[in-house]
Amino acid sequence: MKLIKSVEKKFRSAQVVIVVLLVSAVLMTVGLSLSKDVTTETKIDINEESLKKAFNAAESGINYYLGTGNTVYSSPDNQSTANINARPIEADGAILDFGEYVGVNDNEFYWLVDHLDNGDMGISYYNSATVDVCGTGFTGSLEINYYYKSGANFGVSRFGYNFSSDPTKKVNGFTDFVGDCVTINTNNAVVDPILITLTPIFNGGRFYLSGIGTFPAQGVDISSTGKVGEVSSGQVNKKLRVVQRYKIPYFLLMGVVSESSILSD
Amino acid sequence: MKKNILSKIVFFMGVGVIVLTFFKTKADFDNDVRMEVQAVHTCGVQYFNGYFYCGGTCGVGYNCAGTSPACYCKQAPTPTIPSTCDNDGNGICSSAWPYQCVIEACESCPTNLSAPTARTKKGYCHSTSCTVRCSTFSGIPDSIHCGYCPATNVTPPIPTPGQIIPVCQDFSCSNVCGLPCSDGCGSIWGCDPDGYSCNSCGGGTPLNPTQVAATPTVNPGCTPTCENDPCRANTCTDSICIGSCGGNCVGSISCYVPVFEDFDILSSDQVDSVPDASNRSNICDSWFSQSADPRKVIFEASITDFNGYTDISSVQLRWNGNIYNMSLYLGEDFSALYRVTVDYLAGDNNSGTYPVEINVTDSYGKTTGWITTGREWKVWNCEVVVDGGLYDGSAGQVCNSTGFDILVGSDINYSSLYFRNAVVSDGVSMTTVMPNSYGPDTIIWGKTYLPIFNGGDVGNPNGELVATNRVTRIIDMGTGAIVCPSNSEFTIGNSTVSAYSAVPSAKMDFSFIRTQDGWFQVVGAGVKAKNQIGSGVPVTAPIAIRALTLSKALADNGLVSFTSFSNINGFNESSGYGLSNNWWINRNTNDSTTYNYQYFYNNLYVNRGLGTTGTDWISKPSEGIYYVNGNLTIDSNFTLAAGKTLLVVVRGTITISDTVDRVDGIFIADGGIIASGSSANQLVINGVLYSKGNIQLSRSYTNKVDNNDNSAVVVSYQPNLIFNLPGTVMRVLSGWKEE
Repeated sequence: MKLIKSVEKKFRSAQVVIVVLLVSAVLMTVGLSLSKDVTTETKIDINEESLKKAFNAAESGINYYLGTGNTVYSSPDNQSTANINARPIEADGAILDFGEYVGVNDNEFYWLVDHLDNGDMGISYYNSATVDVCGTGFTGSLEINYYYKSGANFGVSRFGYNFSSDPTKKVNGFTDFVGDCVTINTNNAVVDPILITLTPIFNGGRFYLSGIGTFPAQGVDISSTGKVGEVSSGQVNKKLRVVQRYKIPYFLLMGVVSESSILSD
Repeated sequence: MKKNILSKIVFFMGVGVIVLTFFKTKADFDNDVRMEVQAVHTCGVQYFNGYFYCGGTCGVGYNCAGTSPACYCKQAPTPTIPSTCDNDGNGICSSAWPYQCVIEACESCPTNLSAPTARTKKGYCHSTSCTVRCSTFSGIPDSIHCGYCPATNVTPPIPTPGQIIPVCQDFSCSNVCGLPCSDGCGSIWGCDPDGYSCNSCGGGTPLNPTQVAATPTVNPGCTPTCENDPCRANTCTDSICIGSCGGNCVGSISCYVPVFEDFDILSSDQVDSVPDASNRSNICDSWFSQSADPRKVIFEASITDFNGYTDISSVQLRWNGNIYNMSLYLGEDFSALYRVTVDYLAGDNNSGTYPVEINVTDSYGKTTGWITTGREWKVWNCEVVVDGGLYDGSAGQVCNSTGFDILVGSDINYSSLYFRNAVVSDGVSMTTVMPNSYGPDTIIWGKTYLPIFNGGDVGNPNGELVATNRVTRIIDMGTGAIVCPSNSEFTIGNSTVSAYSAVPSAKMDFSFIRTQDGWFQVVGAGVKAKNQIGSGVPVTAPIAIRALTLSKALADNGLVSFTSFSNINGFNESSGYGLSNNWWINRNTNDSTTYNYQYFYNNLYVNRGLGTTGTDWISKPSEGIYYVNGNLTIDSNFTLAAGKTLLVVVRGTITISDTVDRVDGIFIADGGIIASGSSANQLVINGVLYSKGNIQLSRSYTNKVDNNDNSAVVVSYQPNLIFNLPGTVMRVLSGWKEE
């Protein structure tokens, strides 16, 4: 009886141990699990911070380039750097196409003279007597301003074309036109070509210039890659790209412009 | 031996050369002597009648030439003319003083002249000392020496039966021998046979009138065998005429019925009047009204009686029930003029126009009965009742309706209207009906009037009326006819108001163009408003500049775009948007990007350090960018130096004072731009205006009449100002992209 009781007592103790062990195992499992999650989150926080630093470095690199012209940037704390690549925006042979959509009433600018580093106009001009202004399937009206330099003065010739046969999509007085390209006489033997601006009316569209002359660079395509950390320890990179071009506030193409009304009384 | 022969040959050759050389030298010497001999002459300065000239002799083949005192002998050219014809020795027959021309003969007259023409002459010219012709002439008209060639291609008028052709009836002949004679028939009859001598020219009395007998249509007379029949005597008979010649003469001499030929109505001055197209005359016609006795009228009838004018026993005239006996005024052979003079009294006035009839009776009782003369006659008081209005034709004036639709308002300050006549007592002050009408009042038919407004005068008939470009419209209320006289002064006559209406009356309207309000114009560019454009280009502006935008050298005009458009001066022609590019669209074409003070301040001033800030106009820089964080009043002129630019950016409103005449620059204002007030001078803004708010360019000329022709504000687009901006201003970053 004592033995039974002793065995029974031991059995109960074992049961307790087993239970304790089971509870402990469960607790350990939960605890270990929790521990792994904390480690992962810590690792994610570290990556985002690096990306932010890389982004900031890339952005700062662009500004640094714009300010100094240098193509290598290093953050003040030396923890991030940026490499900048600046590529001039040039014509593709005889075609000058920014590859962008110009919204209705917005303006596109095609320079026929180069720009110096300080932004001033240079003296290399588009060197052909004509240039074609082309729309890709454009069906609206197009207001074209051609600026030139004559001696010490600047001048402007203005053109208007209706590309649409729809009478509701015509500007009164514009020349009706069928085709994709209108030819502008630059008269470059007499004047120095400066700028062509386009304003699509009724519809937006894609446009480009085509000419046998040499189109000057239209600006700079700047890309900046920000870097944080060492390659060996898992470097984080971030790349930004921006285009620097020369544009004029649209109202400067007109004599009087109001975002409200123009009145005589 | 050979050597000797050779020596001899050489010797003689040498001698020959020497001899030849001698003679050659001698010959040259002789020539020199001859020249010297020839140079001995008397050529030099000579004097004649106040003139110094080169004269004298130089020997054969040479002339004394040159201009005093530099005289010299000059080899004469081929002597085509005698030397005596060459006064100055230049080898050309003299054509200057002394020089004269001779008329050789008067040329023969053409045979197809329609009017006497000066006869031509021919002849030659020569120097005074030379009778040889230097030049000839012909076909030179010279009536003084050659007189006139007669007109030979004149066709005399074809007389109608019974017509008396008045030879030199209205003869006028000059006392100057050689001038043509003429008469009222356009011929030269009555003059000497040569047609242009005036030896026998007479006065105004008819000379030898030619009679053309009427051709009787019935029984024109006896056959020739009856020529001596007694019934061909001075009396007529209706009986059968039996000729005494024994033949079977069956002819007869009729007792002719008098024939009414013509009728005239003459003034008391015996001036024949001309009826209107409907053969009507009235006592207010100028022939009567301007005669010595305006109410006295002479009626004249021309009568023919082929039994002789003396057969006529009675001629009566009937008008409006009144019968007047006419008296013989003039008679000869078969024709006679009968007249009656009527002195009309006020009681004879009548609103009607009545036919004039005549009745002629001869001594044999033959009568025309009452027959019409074809003329109608009116006797009235000449008064025309008029009234009318003043209309606003500022939106255009085209006779006879455009510009006569809207009566003017009180703003043109209409105060008086006076119908001026050259005779002061005939002027009429109209009854004014404010603010834009007058009458009814009475003016006199046949008189000429110049309507004068507001105390004006002949030189300024609109007076102080605040309006110009008067157009007059006259509506004949009797006939409904409408005319617009080409001049402000007009005559109330048949072409304006019919005298033959029962009550002649008219509505005389005047259309004016109001003195225009001030307006603006853009030169060398376009105009864009997101909402409304209120233009003011007036119809009065010269056509060459009658548009909102104009091209200029180096800058074409551009597009005019808007959501709604109006014209404060009423000119809404679609041609008025632009010259030479008349481009317009009633649609917003403004860029989706808008600009304001903050944009420029942040991008240019803060980020790039461009420009300066300030609060007033006087503090602005001479060039560059100027920021005003508030309102700005431009109160003085500003002219940019060449090659410079000025960008003025204002957070509030830009106001340009009316004391400013010129300001250069690009002006940007968030709160609007205003150029108002008035000035004697035009405001020229050389540059660009841009605002998020309204742009109000209402400035006027002080003398508003000047607004009719010129804009008070001009915005002259200057591309220089754009490209003179710092290049960095145009440098724009776009298309940020993360890769």
